[in-house]
Amino acid sequence: MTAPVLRAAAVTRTYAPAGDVPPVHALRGVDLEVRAGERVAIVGRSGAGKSTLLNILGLLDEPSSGSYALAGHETADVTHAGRDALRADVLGFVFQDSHVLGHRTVAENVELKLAVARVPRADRAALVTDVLARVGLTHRAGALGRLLSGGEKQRLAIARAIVTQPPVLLADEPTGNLDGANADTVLGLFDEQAARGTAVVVITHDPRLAAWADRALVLDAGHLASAVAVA
Amino acid sequence: MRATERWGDLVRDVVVELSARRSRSLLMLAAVALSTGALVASVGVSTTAADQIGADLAASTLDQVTVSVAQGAADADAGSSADGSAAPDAPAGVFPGDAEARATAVQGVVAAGRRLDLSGHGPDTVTPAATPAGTAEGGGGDTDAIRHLTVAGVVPGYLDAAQDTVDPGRTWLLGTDQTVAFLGVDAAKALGVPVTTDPTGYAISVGGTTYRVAGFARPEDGGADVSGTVLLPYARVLAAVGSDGDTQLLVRTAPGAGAGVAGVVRVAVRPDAPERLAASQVESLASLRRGVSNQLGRLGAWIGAFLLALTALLIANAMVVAVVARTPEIGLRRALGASRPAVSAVFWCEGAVTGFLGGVAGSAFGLTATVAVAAANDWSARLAPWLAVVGPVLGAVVGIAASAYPAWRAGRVSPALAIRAD
Repeated sequence: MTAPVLRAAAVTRTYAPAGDVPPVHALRGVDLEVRAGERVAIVGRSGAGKSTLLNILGLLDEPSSGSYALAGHETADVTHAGRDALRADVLGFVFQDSHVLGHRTVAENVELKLAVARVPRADRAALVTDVLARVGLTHRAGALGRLLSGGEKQRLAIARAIVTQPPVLLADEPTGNLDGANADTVLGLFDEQAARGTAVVVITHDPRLAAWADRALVLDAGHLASAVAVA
Repeated sequence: MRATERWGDLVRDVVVELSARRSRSLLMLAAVALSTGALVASVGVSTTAADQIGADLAASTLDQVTVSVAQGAADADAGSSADGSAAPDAPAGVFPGDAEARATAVQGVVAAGRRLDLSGHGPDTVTPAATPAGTAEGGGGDTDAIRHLTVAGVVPGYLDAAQDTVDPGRTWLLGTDQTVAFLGVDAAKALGVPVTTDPTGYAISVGGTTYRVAGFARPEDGGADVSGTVLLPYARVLAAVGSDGDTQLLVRTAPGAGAGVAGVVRVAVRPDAPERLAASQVESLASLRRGVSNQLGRLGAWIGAFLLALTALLIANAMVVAVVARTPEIGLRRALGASRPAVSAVFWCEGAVTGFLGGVAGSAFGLTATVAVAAANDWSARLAPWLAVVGPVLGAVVGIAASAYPAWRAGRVSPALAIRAD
């Protein structure tokens, strides 16, 4: 069995507000391993700690305790600059709100990821063209982001996330704002990425995504309560 | 709900909102303070500068009056002197022989003396004439420099009025008709005469007449520049010129007495015909011009400095607002892998570009406005080449400086919170 590309062990996250407000234990000892090409869904109610877990997996936040290794890098030993580099090279993000930059074109939105990842300028056009073709937005390459529909925006966000072929794709409620057809399109794109070897981790409270994934994990009050192999 | 309660709710809302965004509130407050302060300061500084300019003007006319022959008055009674006697061999004169005594009798007058320049009135070529036998320093002089020398006839009182001095204390010789000369330092150098305490043996020729060098002239503190001048006894020059039409009586007064003296000195000197004399209070137009120019320059610089500071605050405020509005974008960039310095750099650069382009436009507008105002007032526009460059450079510097805080703030945005901000 190959080594997990993403490994969290006994991860906790506690928020300690100032004053007399009691601390909030958002995560209480989470263990998680995801391998290349695996599709994992993490489901839970609102307030279960899903966003906190995604932030830690995505190196947007640090655990209060425990260890987290990403693509072989123990993140506790990585500097801030190193964490930024890991996000650029190893991770792809898709959020519920697509965060498309409305004042930039579709192609420019995708190119933003390539610029951050310091891909040479000469290579960018081909990569952008290829990924837009995969998500079905070639005909909208020159359109401003704010003119896209909800489904198109989410496909653009996916294109931006996968253009560098990251080993790990993190998605936070990727189908939350989409209708059924668009949601299916998004899942189809995730399937393609998984087939290419990308580990896909989806945070959701949508039971359809739980059914879609290879594994569905339930997060409840900061505990990763169960791990169920679906496929 | 009563009106007072509604107002109370409104005030509470305002306090909460202003307190929630303290840095932005402070920046806005500072911008308003600076703009109103600039208005108040510009009025105050303008008034102060105007007062200072007025003081400079007054100071320049404070303690010196020049009395000269009024236009057309020189030929009016050729052949007669001021006291009416008609000595056949006496030079024609508008100024009486005791003009200095008459002028110093006026209250407020400290010293007075006549001066008549030989230049332009006949042979005035100056050349070295003799040196002490056996003295190695004597020589032919600097012909070029000699050409620019001024030859003037003065009475002893002139030196006092002009606050010059001759050494070694032989001022009285200028009140005679002896063939003696006093050299300014540069004149001495041009004529090859060493500036020593004993110039015995040195002589110069002026218009063919040999004059013994009796000493050297130097200005005292605030005195007129005589370094390039050859001073001869007034009587000798008056005899050579033949008329005192170009004579000037320099009158030094007590500080502040210039205006008063100017009004009465003509009558004191020529009570029979004061209209034949003209009194002028402006002693040095060049220094007056420099003083006014300096004051106006400082005024403009201070107002400019206030406006620049205001500009920096406005840019900073706008960029802080931009950072807040673009928080989700900042979160996205960080999520994509951008580092804190990279995020800050975006705002630094935006500030620099905004400042630079603003400076270009500002320079263009300022130069155009200067030309337009000059044209409207029939003035000659004076535009220094560096004005076209200073705007973009200063704009970029101000833009970068103003972006410092917003850029720092953008770099510190928490990506986890920012990505969910809306």
